[in-house]
Formats: sequence, structure tokens, C-alpha cells
Amino acid sequence: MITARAPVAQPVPSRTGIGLGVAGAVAVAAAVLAPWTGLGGQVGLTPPGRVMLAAMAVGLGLAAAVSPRRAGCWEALAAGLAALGAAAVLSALTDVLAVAAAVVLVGFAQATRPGRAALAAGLRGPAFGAALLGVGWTLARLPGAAGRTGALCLGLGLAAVAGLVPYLAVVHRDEPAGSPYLPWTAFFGPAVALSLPARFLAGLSLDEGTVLGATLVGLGLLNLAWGTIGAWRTGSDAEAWRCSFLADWGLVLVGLGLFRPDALAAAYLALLSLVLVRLPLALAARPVPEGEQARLAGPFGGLAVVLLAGAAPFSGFPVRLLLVQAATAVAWPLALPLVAGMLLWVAHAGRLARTLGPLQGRTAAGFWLVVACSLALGLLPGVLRAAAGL
Amino acid sequence: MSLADLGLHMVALLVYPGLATSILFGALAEAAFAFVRGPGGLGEVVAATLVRLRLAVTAAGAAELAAALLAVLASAQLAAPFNPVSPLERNLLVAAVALIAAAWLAWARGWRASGPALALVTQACWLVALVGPALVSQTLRPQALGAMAVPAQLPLKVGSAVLYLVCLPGVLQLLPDLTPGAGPEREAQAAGGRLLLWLPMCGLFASLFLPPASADVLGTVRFVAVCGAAAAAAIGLGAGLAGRAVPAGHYLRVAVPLAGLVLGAAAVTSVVS
Repeated sequence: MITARAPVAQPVPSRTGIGLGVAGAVAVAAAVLAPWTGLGGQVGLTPPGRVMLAAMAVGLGLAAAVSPRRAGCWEALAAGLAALGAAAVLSALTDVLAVAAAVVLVGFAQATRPGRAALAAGLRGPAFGAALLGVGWTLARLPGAAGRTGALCLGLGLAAVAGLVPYLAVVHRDEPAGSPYLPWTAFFGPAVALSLPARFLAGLSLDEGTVLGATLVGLGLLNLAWGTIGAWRTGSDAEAWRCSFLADWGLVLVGLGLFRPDALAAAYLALLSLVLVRLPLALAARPVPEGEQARLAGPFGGLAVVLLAGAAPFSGFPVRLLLVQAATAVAWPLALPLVAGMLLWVAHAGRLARTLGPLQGRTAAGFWLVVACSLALGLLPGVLRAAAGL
Repeated sequence: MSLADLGLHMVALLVYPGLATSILFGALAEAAFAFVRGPGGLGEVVAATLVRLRLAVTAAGAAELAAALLAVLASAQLAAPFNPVSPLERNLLVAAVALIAAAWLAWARGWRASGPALALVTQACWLVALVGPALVSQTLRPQALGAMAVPAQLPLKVGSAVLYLVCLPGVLQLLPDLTPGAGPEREAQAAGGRLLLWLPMCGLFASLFLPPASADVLGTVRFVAVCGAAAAAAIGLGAGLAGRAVPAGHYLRVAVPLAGLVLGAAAVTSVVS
């Protein structure tokens, strides 16, 4: 994402770029070392947040490896460190208002990068999400209807920050990697989603928690339906990739909203898969010229279809298994739309795999690393759950 | 939290120490800055400042509105006397992140090519001044940091206060490299961007580096006086640097080593205490 978004390869980053990179490295160090500073109770990463931060560092490396667009090595490093630092700050802040302010700050930094969208357009989603989080957190501590409205705002704010339905940004048809939704949906969104709901829940009553859970499950099902059907039916490959992210987020939101250990683990594994597998593959995709028929690219193609369909033994399988188990335990009718969505998922996997195009040299090596990560997520979910204390 | 608490929070955001107080303090500070920097009598300067602020408010867009909201949120975190927000709910990190975001948003429409790097370094030094004492005291409550008077921590507190004052012209965008340029429209843009930042920036100085002011008239006067003194220091330093056309690099040669010293002092104090 970081390297691909740079429109022109620059071997040496600007002074501001170096400054942002250093600031990012300091932020990561501060977030990781917070428990030893005495401020651990007020700032710090949760165990899942720590694993996610490590996964993001790996994901950025994979993204740089598989992306067909090249940027300068130092520029990519500076931009990657800055992005990682921003994700660390979003994960480590415990005060919801501070998280909301940080979302605006990161949104601003993201919106000022070169691209087609105007500053205001790039900032609109994060700013609206931050406003919903701020208002939600203020109202959620009030009794009665105001508290329930606050819980609803918190759920909607999380969706807005991640750029999900109903807050979709415009996707440019010919530059999937340059689309403004990608940093929030595939990078910063997971950092917020993994740490923030736990912070909300500590301050919510049972009633408000139920409203928050219902909101998340509802948004999850909506995004799952929108994502699976959209990725299958849309005419644009860039839009199809975005819809596939939405489908993943659908599973994540349902997992977060069920408040059960298995469901939370499913959400956590889905977010890891989103950062380590789907994000690099989305950046490896290239638009197929109009009038040209896309084909599966050799041995990669078949493997990519299986991987993107969420079949065993890859990363999507334990997510689906855990989520259906949890949904069945809570209310079995909930499993029906989930299973339907998962079956529909297969329809768009082939289409997405075709956009990967021929992979050679560096990009092919990057692809095999992504496959290895997906296999690790699929075969060792217990180890990853234990690392996050889930 | 009850509905009465929500009302008090709204008062804090919209009236004191939030929007209304910030506008008043910011307008006075802007008038003082214009008076120190340029020619003209006091009445003339005040009238020109009011015109500039009116221009800035009428030209404000969504980014400026977001900046205003964040600045007001930061104001509500101050350890000001009679602040309706409970001391337990105030958070230094909320103020710091909100102020940094507000400063960038307010500045976005008029930055120069050399500006972002300078702003970034100045903000990093300013953050060191905020976080250094917090790391040693192990708290993020502004009033608790202000009340801290352990002898072993005093050198760090004094060093951080000096660094904070040195960074103020930078974070308040008073330096020539951080202003959009000359001309009425540009000056209105700069003044509008700074208007709501004056009180939270100067108020944080009073909250963090001096014992909390008591909730009475005398305490309020003391808090306002300290805020005014911090603003005066920022204005003096900013106008002095602009008047002598000191390059930004020279300014950073003072701020960055001082930030390094404060970090070192924080590490030593942390080990000693």
C-alpha cells in the first residue's frame, strides 16, 4: 500500500518523509515499551494489538515485495515506519477521545499524500468516524436511551473509520492500489478494530453492550452481503477487490459483536488474514485493460483461487469454522446468512485471482511468502490465539 | 455519568474553558501579536485583527471546523479553575493529540514547501516537553503533573517548561516559515488558524508546570496571568525571530538539543527516583 501509493519512484525521501519515519519508529517503540514506563495502565498495546502490530510490519514487507509498482527503498522504509507508528498509536491509546483525535490526525496525514482525491474528500471518512466515536463515547456513559444511542454511534463510528458500508469512499477504476479506502480498510482499521471495542466495553452497561453487539452484528451481515455480492457482480476489478475487503470485514464485525471467545478469536484471525494475505494480494493486482480477457496466471492462479475462497488449509478456514460455531451457540438462525455469505464467497475468488496477472522474480517470491503466511494462519490458529491470549 | 454531567461537559466545550473563552483569549493574543509585529496604534491593530478574524471565520471550511472542534476538546482538558470537567476525566494525551491534529488541519490550506518538516520537528520537541514529566511522574492527569513538586524532579520540570516555551512559537505557527505569507488574505488565514490554539497551548503550560490554581477569583486571575505570560513569551520570541529574519534552522538548533537534554534528564530522573 505504501510503496504502491507513491506515484513516482523517489530514491531519497524528503526531509518530511524522514521525519515521519523517525516519528513512526519512536511511536512503535513507545507503544511496545509502554508497560515498562509506568504509564502501562493509561497507554499500551493489548496482547492481540501486539500481535497485530507485528503482523502489520510483516504485511508491509509483503506488500512492498508483491507490488508491481516500485518506489525508492528508503522512501518505502520511511513511509512504512510512519504508517506502522500511526497504527501503533491508534492501538495503544486507551482514551476513546484520544483515539478519535488520532484518527483525524492520521486521516489528515493520509489525505495529504499525492493522489486524485482532494484533501477534504480524503479526510471526510476518518473525520466523520472520529466524530461518531467522540459523540458515541460521550453519550454511551449516560443512562437510558442516550446511552443506547451512544452505543449505536460507537458501532457506526468503527465502521466509518474502517471505510465500510454505509460509509464507502470512491474507488478509482484504473488504480486499485491508489484508492483512498485501502489504508483505512486494510491497515489502520484493523488496528482500531482490535483494540477499541475492548476499551468501549469496559465503560458500557449490559444494555448498551447489547446494543453495540447488535449494531456490529448487523453491520457485519450487511458488509458480508454487500461484499460477496458486489465482488461477484461489479464490472470493475478495483471495486471487486474493495468488496472482497468488505466481505472480510463482515466476518470481523460479526465476530466482534457476538462477544464470545470463539467469535473474538475468529475476528482476530480474520483481521490478521486481511493484513497478511488480502492486502498484499490486492496490491499485486493490476487492472485488466478494457476489451481484454483476464486469465488465471499459470500455477499461481489455481492456488490464489483456493486461498481467496477461504478453503482449508488456508487462513480463511479457521475463521469460518470458529464463527459458525459461535453463531450457532448464540442463535442458530444467525449461522444461516453467514453460511450463505461464505458459499457466495467462492463466486468471486476466481475473478480476483485473475487480476493477479503474471508474477515473476520479486513479485513471485512475494506471492509464495503470502501463501506461506496464509498457510501458517490456517494451520496454526491455536498458536496465534495463545499469543494474543484469546 | 448523568445528564447534568453531560450539561457540564457541554458548558466546558462551548463556554469555559472551551469555545467562547478560547475565542476571547485568542483574539486578544492575535491583537497583541499584530501590535508587536507591525506598525500602527492599538485601536488600529485591534480593528484590523477583528477584520482578519471575521474574514477567516467566513472563509472557514470543513477542515477548519474539525480543527476548531479538536482545539475546544483540548481546552476542556486544562487544569483551569472552575473547569466543569472532572479532574479525573482530563487527559494530557487527549489534549496533545487533539492539538497536534488541530494545528495541522488549521494550517493545511496555506503551508509552504519548507513548512511541514519544521512543523514536525517543533511538534516532536513540544511533545518531549509534555511527555517527559509525565513519564517520570507516571500520570497523564494535567493537574497531578502540575501539583508534582518532588525536589528530584524539579530540574526536569524546569527544563521541560523552558523547552515548552521555546517550542510555543513553532506550534502556534508564529514563525515566518510556518505562516502562509504576506497579504491580507494570507494573514487572515494564519490568524484564523491560530485563534483557537492560543488558550489550550498556553493553558497547558499553566496546567503542567505550575501548581494547580485554586477555584476562586485569585486562582482564576493567577491562571489567566500565567497563560498571558506564556502567550507573551511566544509572541516575543516569534516576533523577534521574524523581525531579525532568523532562519528556521537556527531556531531548531536551540529546540532540538534542548529536547535531547530534557529526554536525558527524564531518563536520569526516572532511574534516580
